[in-house]
Amino acid sequence: MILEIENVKKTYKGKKKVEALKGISLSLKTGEIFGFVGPNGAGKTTLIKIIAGILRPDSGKVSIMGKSPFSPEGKRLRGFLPENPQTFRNLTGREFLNFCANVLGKPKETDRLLKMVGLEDAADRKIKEYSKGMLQRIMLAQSLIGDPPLLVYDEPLSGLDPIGRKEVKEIIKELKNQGKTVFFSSHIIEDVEELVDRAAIINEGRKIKVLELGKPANFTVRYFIEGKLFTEKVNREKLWEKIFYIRENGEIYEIKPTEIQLEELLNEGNN
Amino acid sequence: MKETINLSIGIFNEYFRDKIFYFIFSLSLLLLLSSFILQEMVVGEPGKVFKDMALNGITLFAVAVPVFITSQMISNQIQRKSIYLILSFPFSYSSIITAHLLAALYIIFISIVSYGLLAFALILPFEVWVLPIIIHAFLSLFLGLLLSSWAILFSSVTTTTLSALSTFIIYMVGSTFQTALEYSQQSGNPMYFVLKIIGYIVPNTTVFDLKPELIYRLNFSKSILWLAPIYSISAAIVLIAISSFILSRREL
Ligand SMILES: Nc1ncnc2c1ncn2[C@@H]1O[C@H](COP(=O)(O)OP(=O)(O)OP(=O)(O)O)[C@@H](O)[C@H]1O
Ligand SMILES: [Mg+2]
Repeated sequence: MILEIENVKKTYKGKKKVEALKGISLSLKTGEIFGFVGPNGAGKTTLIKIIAGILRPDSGKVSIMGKSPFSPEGKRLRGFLPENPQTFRNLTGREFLNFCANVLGKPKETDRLLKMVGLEDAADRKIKEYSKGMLQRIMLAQSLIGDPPLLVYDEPLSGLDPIGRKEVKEIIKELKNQGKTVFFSSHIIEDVEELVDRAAIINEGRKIKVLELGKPANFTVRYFIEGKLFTEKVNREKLWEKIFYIRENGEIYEIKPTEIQLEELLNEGNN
Repeated sequence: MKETINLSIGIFNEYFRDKIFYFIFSLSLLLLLSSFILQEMVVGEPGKVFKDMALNGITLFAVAVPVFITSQMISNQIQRKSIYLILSFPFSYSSIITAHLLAALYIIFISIVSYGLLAFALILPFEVWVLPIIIHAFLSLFLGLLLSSWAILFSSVTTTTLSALSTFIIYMVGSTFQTALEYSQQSGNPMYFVLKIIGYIVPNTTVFDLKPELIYRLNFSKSILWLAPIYSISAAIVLIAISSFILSRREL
């Protein structure tokens, strides 16, 4: 397990108390891409800030390969992309990456990283001139300095146009090929389905369930029996049984994994 | 320490390239140039106006950089949420605060040195006036450090506007307080002790001010040249500790 989260709780103690995390537990296997999905205000950013070593939880434990996320060792094991990232504005992209490598005491791989996120041409322009997508990509590049095994990204796909989203998705896929573990949040389940091995659904500070997206749990089967079209939801275990039954009595029209509806999952959690 | 310095260099670059800095710089140039006009109008020792302007301009940097730049450093990053990246780096809160303070100090140093050189050149036709500028620049650097430490504290607590305002107010209070204190002692004010305690807390900016002595070649106690820096550095250390504590307690 590269990242372990045990019963983490956090209440913001501002003017109005907000119980943002009500006891979350998760663990990530090395090399997997893990999605963290929930609606606005679910507590995604709160948990990610804790993993990034920015915000202290009230109770519970988080460890990155056995290290505390608040320790310098723990912080060196993970790269981080904040939500709606912002950073120095008057540095150029190249200067910014060099700066980050310097302060982290890690080797400069600026050219490789710029190439990886496709910013070679904009490398010598000031960050304040960057578009939102470019900013997202330079910050992604920053997260990869020093080759950390775990990457923690808060909404890496939000606020981007379709092309920008595709580019970031490609980068995340490339990271998986390099054997990295990626933990990222999103409020859009389709994005997560496309990229991840597993996903946790969270709402109102509680984990609702963990989905194994590599193996869909439900299938929608459409078939003809005696000329009539039927549509039926079948779960994984019953699928073969159903297929044999249809083959004997009629004809299969289509079998596909059932699309996961975030709303349904959230309702399941409420019941 | 090396990492803190690397961090401070990045922060320095970010703010040194900011427009506000050029604004302050042009303002002080204007000040210097206006002394040409004044020079024509006043009678008296030639070069006196330039000397005044030289020293005042240096003080201006030591005050304006904390008020307009240092006070924005933390609060602005909190407002823009760019602070998250720095907080996610493997540094302690105190190194983050120290790095910002160092960055402010570099800006003050560079501006004071370049302005001082310019002033020196302008006074050169009248006399070779070096040592007073150096002494004043030296003291002003520590005034800048003291005010910047306050600015960083305000910046860690409140918004950009309020922290700029608070920094300015603490400077104003600090520069008038000592006179008020003397006055209240002479007049036997019952509140004198309360005022005296406050007097230890607010920055005593008069310590860094030798303008009349330098311009009129009066004698001054040389010990101020090491007492003032010690005062400024100790205050900075305390303020860094308080700011780091506050920043670590904020739920950002
Ligand atoms: N600094 C803060 N102080 C007080 N309350 C906060 C703070 N940050 C977040 N909250 C509250 O905590 C809850 C969880 O917020 P969080 O930002 O973790 O949600 P999220 O899942 O990231 O939402 P989004 O999809 O909108 O980014 C919300 O109710 C939010 O209002
Ligand atoms: Mg969020």
